[in-house]
Amino acid sequence: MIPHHEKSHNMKKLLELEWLKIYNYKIARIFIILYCFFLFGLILLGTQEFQLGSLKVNLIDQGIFNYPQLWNFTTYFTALIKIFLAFIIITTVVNEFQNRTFKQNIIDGLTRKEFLMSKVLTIVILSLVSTILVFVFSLIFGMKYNTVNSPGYQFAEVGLIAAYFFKLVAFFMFCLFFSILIRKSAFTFVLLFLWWFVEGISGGIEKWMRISDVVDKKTSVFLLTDYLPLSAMSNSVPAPIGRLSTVEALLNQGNEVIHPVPWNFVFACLIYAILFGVLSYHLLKRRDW
Amino acid sequence: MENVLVINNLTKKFGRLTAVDNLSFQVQRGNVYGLLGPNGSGKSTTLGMLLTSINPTSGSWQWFGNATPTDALMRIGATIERPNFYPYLNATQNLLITAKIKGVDVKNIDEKLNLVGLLERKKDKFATYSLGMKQRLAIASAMLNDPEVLILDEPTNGLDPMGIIQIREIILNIASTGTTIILASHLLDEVEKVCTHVIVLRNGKALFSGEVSGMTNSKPYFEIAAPDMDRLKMVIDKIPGLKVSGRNGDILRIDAEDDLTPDKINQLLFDNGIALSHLIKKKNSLETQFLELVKSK
Repeated sequence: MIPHHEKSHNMKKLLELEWLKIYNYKIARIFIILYCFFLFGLILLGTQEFQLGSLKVNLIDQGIFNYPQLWNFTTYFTALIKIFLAFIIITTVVNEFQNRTFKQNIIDGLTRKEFLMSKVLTIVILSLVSTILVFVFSLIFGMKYNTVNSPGYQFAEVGLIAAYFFKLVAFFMFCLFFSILIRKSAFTFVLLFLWWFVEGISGGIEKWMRISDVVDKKTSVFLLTDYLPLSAMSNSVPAPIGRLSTVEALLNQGNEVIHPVPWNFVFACLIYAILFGVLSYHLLKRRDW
Repeated sequence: MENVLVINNLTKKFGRLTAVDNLSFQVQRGNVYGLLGPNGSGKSTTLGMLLTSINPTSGSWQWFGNATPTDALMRIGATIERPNFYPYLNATQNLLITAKIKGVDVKNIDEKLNLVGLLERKKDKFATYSLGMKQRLAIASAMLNDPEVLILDEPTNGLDPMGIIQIREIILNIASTGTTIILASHLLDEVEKVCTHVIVLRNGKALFSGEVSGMTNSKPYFEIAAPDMDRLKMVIDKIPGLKVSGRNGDILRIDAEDDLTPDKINQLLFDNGIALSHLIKKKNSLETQFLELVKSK
């Protein structure tokens, strides 16, 4: 057993290492700054009026900043730009192999577990920063634009913030694993895209095979392909389009205001994050460097 | 003397290729070891296993008696194959990473940069360095923890003569402080100039292991010629202690027993009615011995 103070000392060492490696990496710094701006810009976009053909769309009037669906809208749309952070993770990890600094780190005395932990820490911190930003921006915009005045609504779906965090962590762990597996940035992105494509196809096949179930039951049907990695991540923060007031009226799905957080998918994200961590560790350990 | 490293039957197979084949040797404190062999003889693979970056197929080794692998690495300084650094970081930042990993005081950085003559360039990015500077930074990085054992893999590879001389001076300088050094090289000349001990590798096997002077202490041989070569050969075959071991045009190569000096051979042959027109005592150069060693087995 390692004494607790040594563990935290070790954690500090790993964080310092990652800070040195990433902070001084210009592309990473630019991407992180860009990401923060885009995150803010994306939410700000919701306050703008759009001209859709002859139709004027005002997203505030559509209720995107109303509680409780505000959490759904912010987490869903900001998650779309997580690719910026994924880019940082993939390039910095791939660089460790391309520059053979991973090997040198090992020779210098860093264990494979410490190396992996340093990357996991980066992932957790980037996800946490993003989550906090989304939470704070949601609060600010909610305060300004919320038009619903029902007590108990404000934080009814705040669990989506946690879902968002685990969704990001799972996705970045997925990227980490493929970066270690492929060790080439371009190929890693190609493989991610292929994986996404294959999941989409297999999801389509399952739905087609069980078409009667899907049509009959309308509400949730258990589909295996929903639990594939990228699908589970996607399902952990559901698409909020149906909650725009116009769409809601069109669908006429009743007056359910509070939607439950899909904890089953959030849990799947957590499992995947751990799984990809374990697989990454085995890759690092098994291979010769 | 104290062994800092003991290797027993170390083997590494990559598929059907055996890169390191049942290798055993010891490294004693304070000596400079050359791991000598042609490219692909298993030098880097051996070092990779000793430094935990490559998983061995079988066999074992022990650093410093019974140090754990991580503890051992903290007491070693090593660079393998080529200098591996973060290209976008400068020398100080790169060494800061090594210092953090090794748990070394960051004050050592300037001292080690000075040792390899890079102090003035410490704020320049690694990517802007010449190959010689990169190799020197690698040595500074390996020296950062004042290691008990310094491992260098082909430190002069690809350098110009000036760069080679600089690196050799640095290594000799470090060796003079009593640091144990393991130097992998395919250059015999380098091993001869720098090392006290040598392990000759070919196809992952150790062909020779011992002191460099032991490798040079080979028997001398003689080159002789006489007007009547056929008769010369006949006579030599009759004299005990002399043996024809080769012929190069009109010159015979003779292997002789240790106590036979050129004057004795001359006398012996004259007594047998032969006057020599050519007699030279020769010794194998380390180069030819190395080549013979590598070829013969």
